[in-house]
Amino acid sequence: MKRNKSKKSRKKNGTTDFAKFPIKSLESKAQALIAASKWREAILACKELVKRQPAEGYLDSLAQAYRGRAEALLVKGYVQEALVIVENMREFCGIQRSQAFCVRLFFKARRWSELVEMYRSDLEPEIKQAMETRFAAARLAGEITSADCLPEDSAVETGFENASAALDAYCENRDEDVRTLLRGISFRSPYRDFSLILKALLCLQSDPEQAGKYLGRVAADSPFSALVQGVELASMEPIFFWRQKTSEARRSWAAALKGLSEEQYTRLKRLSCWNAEKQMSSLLASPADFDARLVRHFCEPRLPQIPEQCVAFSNAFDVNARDQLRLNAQFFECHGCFELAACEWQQYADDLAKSLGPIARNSLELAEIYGHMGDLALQDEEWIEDIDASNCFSHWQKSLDFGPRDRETYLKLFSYLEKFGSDGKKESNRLLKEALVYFPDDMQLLNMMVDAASKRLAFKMACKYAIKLLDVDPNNVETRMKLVRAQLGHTHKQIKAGRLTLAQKELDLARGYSSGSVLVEMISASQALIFVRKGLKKSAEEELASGWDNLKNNPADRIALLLECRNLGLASSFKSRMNIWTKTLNKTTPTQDAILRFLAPILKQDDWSDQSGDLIEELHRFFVAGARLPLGQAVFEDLCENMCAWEMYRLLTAYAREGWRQYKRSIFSFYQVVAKTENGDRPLTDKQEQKLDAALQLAEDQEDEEAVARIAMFLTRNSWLKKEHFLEFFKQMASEDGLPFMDPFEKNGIPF
Amino acid sequence: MNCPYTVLGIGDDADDAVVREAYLALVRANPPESRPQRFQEVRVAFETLQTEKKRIQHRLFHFPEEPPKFEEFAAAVTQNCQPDRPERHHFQALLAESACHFGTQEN
Repeated sequence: MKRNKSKKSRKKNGTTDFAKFPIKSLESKAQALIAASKWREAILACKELVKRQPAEGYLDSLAQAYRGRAEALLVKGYVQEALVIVENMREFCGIQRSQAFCVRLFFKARRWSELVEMYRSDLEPEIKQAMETRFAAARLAGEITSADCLPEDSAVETGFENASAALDAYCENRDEDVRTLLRGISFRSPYRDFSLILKALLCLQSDPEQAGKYLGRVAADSPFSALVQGVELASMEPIFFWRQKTSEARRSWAAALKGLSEEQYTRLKRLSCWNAEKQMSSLLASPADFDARLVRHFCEPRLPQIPEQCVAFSNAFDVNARDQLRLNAQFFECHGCFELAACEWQQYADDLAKSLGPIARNSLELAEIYGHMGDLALQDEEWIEDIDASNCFSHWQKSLDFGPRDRETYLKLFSYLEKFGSDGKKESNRLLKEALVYFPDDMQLLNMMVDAASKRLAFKMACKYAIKLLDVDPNNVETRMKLVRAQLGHTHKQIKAGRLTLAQKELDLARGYSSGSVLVEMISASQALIFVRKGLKKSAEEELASGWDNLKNNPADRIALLLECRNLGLASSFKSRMNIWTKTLNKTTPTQDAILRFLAPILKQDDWSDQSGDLIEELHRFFVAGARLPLGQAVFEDLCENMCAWEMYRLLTAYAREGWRQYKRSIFSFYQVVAKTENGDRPLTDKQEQKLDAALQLAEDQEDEEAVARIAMFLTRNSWLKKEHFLEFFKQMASEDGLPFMDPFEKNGIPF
Repeated sequence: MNCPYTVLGIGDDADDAVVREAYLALVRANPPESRPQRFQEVRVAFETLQTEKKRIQHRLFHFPEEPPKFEEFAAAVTQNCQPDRPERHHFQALLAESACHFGTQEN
């Protein structure tokens, strides 16, 4: 408290009482205050110095402090206060005002009489010239008049009449007069920049390049450059025009140049300060003040949030009963009430159908409404997870009844049938055929048709549509493969039925479609099969041998041939040849193509067959060597996962080891143990348990939650550890990391 | 937020041909190299109204997730204005503002 009191005694009106300072320390204090730009205190200190030692030349320091204070006030926009300080400086220091600073200050304060007085005195020529341009601008602005006593023979006064008349002529669209008047403004005139701007404005629309040249010649520090910036503002895209921070005068000038009327601009400015409801209320009261469609466009999407304005909206736009239903529907959609929205749309559709009468059958509008209702029903179903309701299907069907030429609706129906349809395939085929009547060249629909027909073993139909597809896109290799596959499917059907001559014909067709480029191995194997069935074993062997030789550069195709021979039952007839081929392949360097084309898809459940499983076992060395290829971490993980599922532990050992070597991910360490223990069929050794512990820790470090959960699950199943131990461990980890605990088993869908 | 009909300068009952004609005229007047924003706006409007189906969809279901902002409305109003000349008092207000700045560039 005592300390505070003493502090208080040192302060007088918030400033230090310098009267108590010894002269020496006051002098250094004043200098320090000036150096620190503490002008207010510096003035007091210097004043005290001047008072005590008038002869010591402290007036300069006082003037410096006054000037600093005035500058600081000017920067803050306190013009009048700055002027007072300057007057004090003159009174106390008895020195002349600093020219440039005072001119700036007086311009800021609009003290025209003082400025004219200064202009008449001896000023530096550069300052005088700069003042002239500002006087010219102020004269045109009406800020000063001839009564302000600018010398009559000054350039500002002599050029004013011409410039002012030119401005009037420009505003009144008298372009020729403008040009004539501008000729009277000389190069040295303070109105020179103004003249350039008027010239630019005259050609702004017709020759923007020339206008740009004129504007480019206006000096950046000229008061007329505000007009240049106004032109720049007006040339901005409207959205940026409104976003740009600028003065009111400049935006107003630019808005006028853009063509906004005074009333529109003022109204827009006022509206921009209001909230949405007040804006809507004002706009809806007189929508014709602006483009009525724009007003509607602005107001309509706000109705669901501001339903109080619905009546005003209906009155403003003469909303009819059907439109009202549409607005209601949109209101419900916005609030997620799709069922209620559908009711409104249904009423809309009924009313429309009634008004259209017999021509309603071709109403695109009805088709669109039903399509939309289907979309809403699907949203509703997804939301409530009730796939039983097939509203969307019936709405889309109805939509197609009204407007069958709607590809998107067909695609929606296919997708729905694939997901939810109980009798999906049959219905899909019917719709596909229907869709292809309207869109015969649609590649997506044709592709769907080929796939669907192949799945149904309707190979001839698949071929028909694949050929159509190739007509549209002849270079599509995938389509060509589908065509050859379908044709071979049909060939095999004939072979099975014992129609070998017909089978040969079909195979020749397949060969033609293949053009020796796709699925040649399958064609070879099929040809061999026909020979075998015909009892021509030697020809069959020659065919296979030739096929094999032709594929010598492509191990992937050779595997395909081996697999096809197995699938067609040829392997038993040519056992020794198959053995030789298998051995050859096992010595071949594997390719990425062979791994990705065979191992990966075969291991996926869809393509798995006993034949393929056996072949992978026989080609063990080939596929093990393939593990050394840089297949990518995701491929390795995928392969290990599938090998684990198909219990191919020998291969898994190789791929898990390589995966670990290449990527150092914990999951590969885990797969190594899985392979060694045959997924837990063999008891875990201490070493393996330690390895899993390390993998678990690493998975934690790598933030691989799935790996953590899998390893933990494996350990609980195959060691003395139980789920509770791990949950405890995870809880501890989460609390150490400051995170909320989540059961990783549940989170990753790993069941216990 | 500009209304596509307003952007293209066509009536609510315009058919495919009218939409196309208006679009081509506007694209010629607003090439993408010199007026990319306007070109984009015209392009979007054309794509919204190109076919009868799209026009019906726009009329029935056009409902932006976010209502347009007021500045977008103001921009759309401004976009549809024809360039004009400021009046004398506009010039005077702007020059009065700039004449009192001396020495330093103040915007």
